[in-house]
Amino acid sequence: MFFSWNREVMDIVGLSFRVSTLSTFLASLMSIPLGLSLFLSRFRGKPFLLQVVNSLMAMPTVVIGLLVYGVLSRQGPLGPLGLLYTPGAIVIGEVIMALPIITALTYAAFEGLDPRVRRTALTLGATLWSSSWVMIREARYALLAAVGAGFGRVLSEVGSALMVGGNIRGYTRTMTTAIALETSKGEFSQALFLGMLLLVLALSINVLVRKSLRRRS
Amino acid sequence: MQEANALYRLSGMTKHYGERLVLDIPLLQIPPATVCALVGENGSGKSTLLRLLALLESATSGELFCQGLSVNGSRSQRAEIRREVTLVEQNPYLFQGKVYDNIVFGLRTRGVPKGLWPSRMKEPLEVLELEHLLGRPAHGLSAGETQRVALARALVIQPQVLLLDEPTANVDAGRVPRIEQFLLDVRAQHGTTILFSTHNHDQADRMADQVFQLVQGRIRVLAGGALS
Repeated sequence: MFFSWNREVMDIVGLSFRVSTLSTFLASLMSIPLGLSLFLSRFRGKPFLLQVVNSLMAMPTVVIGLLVYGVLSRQGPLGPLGLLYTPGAIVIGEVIMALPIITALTYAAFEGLDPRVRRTALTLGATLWSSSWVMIREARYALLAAVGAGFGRVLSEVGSALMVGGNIRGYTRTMTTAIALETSKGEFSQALFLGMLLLVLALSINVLVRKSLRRRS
Repeated sequence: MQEANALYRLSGMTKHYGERLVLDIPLLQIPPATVCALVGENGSGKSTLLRLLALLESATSGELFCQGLSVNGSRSQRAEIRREVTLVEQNPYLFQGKVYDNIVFGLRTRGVPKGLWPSRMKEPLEVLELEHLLGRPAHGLSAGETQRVALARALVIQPQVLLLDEPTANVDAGRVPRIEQFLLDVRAQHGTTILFSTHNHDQADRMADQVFQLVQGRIRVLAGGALS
């Protein structure tokens, strides 16, 4: 048989989707306010901080995996929580991975937003808080693209998921770690099948984001 | 000391953009319930002055008082001033959504009870001929329609101070007299202080109690008032 679509594959796809969605959601909850605060604030080290955030976008996933492993391993500060080799560990790694991407793209989204948006909201009586909400609403499509980019990054990463998830069959095996495993076993057809599934999933998300962007214009 | 009846008092105010001096106003007092026109060429500092008065920008130096409150005071003091002042920019921004959403934006943010919205909106919508546009997407309007919507959006909140940057620049000439008269009526009914910038000296003479001219950021009185 060229490939097999079975319960195990469904579980793998399901887990990949769940951990990627959850980690993107959690990262967005932190990154969007962070990106907005960075955009609105003025302080001396801001250009440097922006440079750091932009550099972190390219941080290798194995390095993130290594750091999370260090924190979650038995001797690490969060070792007693017993999170290592669980889906929760994968989520932690992926949140760290998505944070700089969504933060940097959020910042860029607000930078590209018409400066009159905030001025207009303020002059019509909006508070600092409600004018921020107006800015988020006006930039929502660019923010959606930022979240989509974060999702793409975490869905396709393998290094961190492999290190902190452990690639345990039926528990922490994601699509990318399964592809790595199948390839190492010489099961190229199965690896290719999973790779195509991953591609379809990533493309579907991309198409959804683009469609909503097009609906706007 | 601030003059007792001055709504705005600017003293020793300068504004720089980088090295460039765009405003230099030693003293300016604007009494309440007056209509003031600012005339001057492009780049003379009219829009900058209006944005300073709307507390959307900060001066490089000097003092600005509004209703006796310093804009350099606490955040709550600034918020209090800002609630009484609104600015309509020369190229106003309309939020995404329907024209109606834009018109009620200020009413919503200022917590005006929903029951009062229709009465607040009635006259501005009628005078500015916007009733038929309420359901239209705001981003599909012409420049003139956009300016009329922005004017209505500001007028429905009935601010104490109305700052207008070239308010009729994009409006069809036929509609201008009615809008001008309506603004004067608003001042008469609500005691609103109106400051507007214009290139049109005739409009300034028709509407304003005081006309100021800005030349390269420096202000002088053309008619009806004094700087101090």
